[in-house]
Amino acid sequence: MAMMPKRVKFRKSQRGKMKGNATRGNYVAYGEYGLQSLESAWIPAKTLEAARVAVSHAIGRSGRLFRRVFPQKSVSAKPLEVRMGSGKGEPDFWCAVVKPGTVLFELSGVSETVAKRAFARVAHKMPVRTRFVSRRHTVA
Amino acid sequence: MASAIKLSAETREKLGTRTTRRLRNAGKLPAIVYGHGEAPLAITVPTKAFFDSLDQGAHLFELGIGSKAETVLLRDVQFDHLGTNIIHADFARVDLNERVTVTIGIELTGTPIGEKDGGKLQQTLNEVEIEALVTEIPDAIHHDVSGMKLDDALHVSELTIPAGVKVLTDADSVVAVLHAILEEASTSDAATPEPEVIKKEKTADEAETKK
Repeated sequence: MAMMPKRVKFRKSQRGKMKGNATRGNYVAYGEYGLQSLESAWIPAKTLEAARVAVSHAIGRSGRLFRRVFPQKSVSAKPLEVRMGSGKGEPDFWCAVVKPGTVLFELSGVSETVAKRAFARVAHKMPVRTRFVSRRHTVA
Repeated sequence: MASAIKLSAETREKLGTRTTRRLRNAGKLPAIVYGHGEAPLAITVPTKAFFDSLDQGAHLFELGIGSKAETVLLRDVQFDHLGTNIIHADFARVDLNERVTVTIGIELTGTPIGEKDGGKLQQTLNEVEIEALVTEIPDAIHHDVSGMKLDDALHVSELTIPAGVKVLTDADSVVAVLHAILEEASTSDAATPEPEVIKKEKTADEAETKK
């Protein structure tokens, strides 16, 4: 089942801007390997769900997947063959707003080879260019 | 244990985005030295030498700034937005017989016995805060997990800590657990309900005034 918020203050949201880079959620925090976005985009909930399924098929019963983005934003659309006007359309789908640098998914408990293979499958499904990243060492 | 790594540094006269960008392109990393009641000093260090020393797990540096040598502790590093390159470093002046607080990584070694029974080791805590003499800061906390059985948990209090090092992180914090691998619950494709809309409840006075 695709993710969406349980409770919201407003059903419909404004479009917003996606300028700049990610200043939070931009490093591997929970797992050992991650998939990082290099572009900004709205990623629909069903795409994130497809990615989860692809990863669970690739890693089998080993490892753990962390989802670092959540579809908080509703996108509205008007039905087909409806004239313009008469207010904003109804919510069509939910999406996560992603900026360059955002870590989309993380994996732990798997080897680097398995993680790379799993994230390669996810990368094909994503509407953004991505890259494979590892946890960085504690330096200070 | 950490021994001070020698780096040659130069003072920076000009500050600002454009200047620091030019310095980075020239292979120099902008940094700052502060602490011990002295004025902060803007410096540059050679990027490659600094990165090489970080790979060795260095914390302590001896900076040669002009004719002066300063012993400093690496306090913070700033990364670019993709987390690839270090763009700035913070150094704090220290005495060699001073106790300092630093964060260091935890490295688990060995294969747990419980993995033969279908368990999988999951590390939940990757770094701990420690207090130690400047000269006795370890590169990392190494702990052997080969004795762990299924459903065992490793706590901070059970870590192998080098002599002279005091751990400041909560002793009951879980570092790693050895879980049995469970089948993931299948998700249904049932029609998704709409999220609940949070509404402010009207008070009796407001309802009356509307009427």
